[in-house]
Amino acid sequence: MSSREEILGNVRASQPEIAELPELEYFNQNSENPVEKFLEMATLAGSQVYEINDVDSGIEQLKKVFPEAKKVISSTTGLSFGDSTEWLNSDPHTLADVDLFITSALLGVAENGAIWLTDKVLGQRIAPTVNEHLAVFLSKETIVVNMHEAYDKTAEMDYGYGLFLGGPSKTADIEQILVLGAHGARSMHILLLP
Amino acid sequence: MRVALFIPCYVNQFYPQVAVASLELLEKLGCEVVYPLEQTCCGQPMANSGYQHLSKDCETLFQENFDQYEYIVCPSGSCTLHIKDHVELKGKIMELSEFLVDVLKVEKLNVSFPHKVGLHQSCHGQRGLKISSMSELMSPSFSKPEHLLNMVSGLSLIELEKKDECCGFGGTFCVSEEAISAKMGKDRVKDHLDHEAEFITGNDMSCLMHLEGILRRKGSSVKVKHIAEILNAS
Amino acid sequence: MMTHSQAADVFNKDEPRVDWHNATLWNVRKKRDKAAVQIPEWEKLRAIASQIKAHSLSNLSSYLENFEKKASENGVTVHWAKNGEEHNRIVLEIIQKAGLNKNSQGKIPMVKSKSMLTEECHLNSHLENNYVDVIDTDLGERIIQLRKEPPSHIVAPAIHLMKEEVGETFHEHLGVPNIETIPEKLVEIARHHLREKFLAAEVALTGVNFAVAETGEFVVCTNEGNADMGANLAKVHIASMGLEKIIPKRKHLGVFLRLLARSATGQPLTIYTSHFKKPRQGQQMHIVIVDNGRSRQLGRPDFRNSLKCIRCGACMNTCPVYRRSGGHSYHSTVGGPIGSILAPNLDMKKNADLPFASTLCGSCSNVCPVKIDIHDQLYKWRQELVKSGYTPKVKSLSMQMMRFTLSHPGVFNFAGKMGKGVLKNAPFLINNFLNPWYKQREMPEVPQDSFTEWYIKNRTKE
Ligand code: SF4
Repeated sequence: MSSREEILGNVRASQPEIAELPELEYFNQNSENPVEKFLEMATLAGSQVYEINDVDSGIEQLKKVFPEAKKVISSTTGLSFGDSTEWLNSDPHTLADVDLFITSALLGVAENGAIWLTDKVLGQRIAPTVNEHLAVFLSKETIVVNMHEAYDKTAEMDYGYGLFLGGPSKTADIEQILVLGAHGARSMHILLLP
Repeated sequence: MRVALFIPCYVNQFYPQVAVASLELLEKLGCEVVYPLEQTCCGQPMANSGYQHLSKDCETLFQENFDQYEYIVCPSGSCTLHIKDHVELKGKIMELSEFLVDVLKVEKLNVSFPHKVGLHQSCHGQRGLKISSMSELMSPSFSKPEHLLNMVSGLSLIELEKKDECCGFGGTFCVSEEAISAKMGKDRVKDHLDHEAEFITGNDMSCLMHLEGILRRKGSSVKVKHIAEILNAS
Repeated sequence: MMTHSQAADVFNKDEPRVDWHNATLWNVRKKRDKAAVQIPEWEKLRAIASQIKAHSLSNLSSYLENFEKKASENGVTVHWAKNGEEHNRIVLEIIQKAGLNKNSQGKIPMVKSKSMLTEECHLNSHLENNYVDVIDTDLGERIIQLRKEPPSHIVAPAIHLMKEEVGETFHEHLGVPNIETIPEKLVEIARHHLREKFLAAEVALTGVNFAVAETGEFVVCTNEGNADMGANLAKVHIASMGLEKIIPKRKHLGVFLRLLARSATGQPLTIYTSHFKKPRQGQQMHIVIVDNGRSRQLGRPDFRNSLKCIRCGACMNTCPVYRRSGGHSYHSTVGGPIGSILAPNLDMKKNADLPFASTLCGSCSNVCPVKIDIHDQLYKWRQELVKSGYTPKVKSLSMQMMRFTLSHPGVFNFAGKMGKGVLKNAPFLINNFLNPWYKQREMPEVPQDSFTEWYIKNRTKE
């Protein structure tokens, strides 16, 4: 008998009588202004959030924050900042020296300030992690109250890799002291579009 | 109201004044109190050590002694919990303060105890019998013992840094894990001392005995008093 | 091997350090409280999470099959391992068959993100013996890997170490010229050191926090981003998962993720909550589903709930015993309250002391996001262990004595009178031939009369 058969057989013999699966709720009634909450939570997690009027003013903002950035790439086409095509088919390892990666998120979550990204929008899976700094466009109308809503809204999306990203990479492994910039992006800049 | 009094074995032997206070308090509040003389122990010390099968005799004895009463009152949350979980009774066993609040519905006590008092929440009463809310749970806060202590004139309850941390007594744990048990006790005592308690009270004499042992070893003048003794003060 | 109480005794020789350890972990508990209180439906969520897990466990075999089917359709290869040994063999085979490049020492470079399961299986040593260069990439894990220590906490593996000790470790192993003690600088050193490892790795291994039967995807949670760094660069991604990680539907992730990080560290969500569904172009993705005693635990009605665990570590942070004895005192991969109910399933004899390393205060069960009845299971393991004969003889003799005394009122009253001076019959001190009680505590003063005697004198008519 293969291990698979044996394991499944043991599990089948051991599992108790079927227990009922509970109904889920959304718990999103009377939640205050989700955009405000998103701003609060994202900032708390260490992200920089800018409310901007359009993509161009967002780019202006980024240029101000990163005047020195040498290698800038973007998975959002038509930006006046950074390469948006050539890197897409390169070996992921070559992205290790990226100073700034610019992308667009599909959704924001108010209760935790996280954004939802998939390989479809990222171009390359490694892109949001291997760079030094990360900038993300997010439109306010995609912000949902909580994770229940977030999973509902993303249910039909097709992806091979999806990521809720809650801010810059961090660690508290040394004496529980919080330090930003562990392995992934050192800073995350969220550009909030109306 | 007729109630039977169950006195934990170690209280009977080492803290008779706690039993007397419980008895007098219940009498003052209009109860007719019966104390079955053949009682010994709830069997918990054995059961918690993994010898539940040996505590059967104790439990049977308990049943023989107490099955005829509608209410059995016990000045220990821990023993009450054990009986509740392991002995089938026609009546109901209740810890003293929960009986005072829930059944007698006491709203006023004519006693005074003009001291700063720290309340030690013993785990079995709190987390087991739920006589107070628990810091881990996100639910409305309440405390039956505090409710009663607030009726005592002159008494001021101190705030603690850790409201409901275990004192480390834990039955045979206090000797089988001596280092941790003593350290937990010392830390609990420190919290009370840091907040200037003159007395430490609680619903379980076992925890208080442990804390008392540490206080006395330190040579501290702070005393422990079972809640029954305070509620029965003059 | 030292028992828990012996190890705790040693740990407590350095009281300031115990205080430091206690305070560090209590801080995490406080953060958890602060995060939880902001969610009005917190207690409801815990109940729902617990029920989802109960359901998943009750239908586990079908969910596993479903997960396998979906994952395979997604292009992921699924493997099954009965035990740690088989798991290790499978992982090595995958690595060897993939035709990967070797480094200058002739070893295949591999990065690993946190996985308690691979600790449980002792994967690292197996791979290292077979020309695989395994690098743990979670910062805490890397620190203890360099120090050749086991993790002391499931969420924060190096929580037992002070920053000075980390500085010494980096000085000794990473060629850092001085002993650095500023956390920011230490993290920066580790970032550079591990970046090299990520970029060089041919294969990446991650754990699995949740596996979704409905879609075949699995979720890995980290704050550092090390799982993503590894898996999204390497040619081969292997994910090791315990078979209890299955949840029925994708939407159930919402429930667990709202609870997990808040319970673990007080964050509203882990920074990287990554969903791996299909391998990227040209990459191999493998999942190894491991039993290693889990189906046996599933068959123990009293203990099967322990399989609901989502490894948040909250029960450890709140445990007054854990905080004062340190994770290593539990001599098992997973320490603390949850470890003490998991370990006896794996080896009753070796872990017989662990269920006794608790006061049964119940705080663990109250913080547990999936409402595992941890302290009740500790109690039940005690009964089980005693019945199977895994407790010291002395204890069982004194227990017999106690039973006799306590179930015979005449003997009880007499013994009480005679023995009071030495507390011989105080049941909690029955195990007292050297009486450890007295080491740091005084005995209660012995009164003239017992209450029974008082009662006879004052309340009976005769
Ligand atoms: S038992 Fe509960 S509290 Fe402990 S680690 Fe598991 S999920 Fe967290």
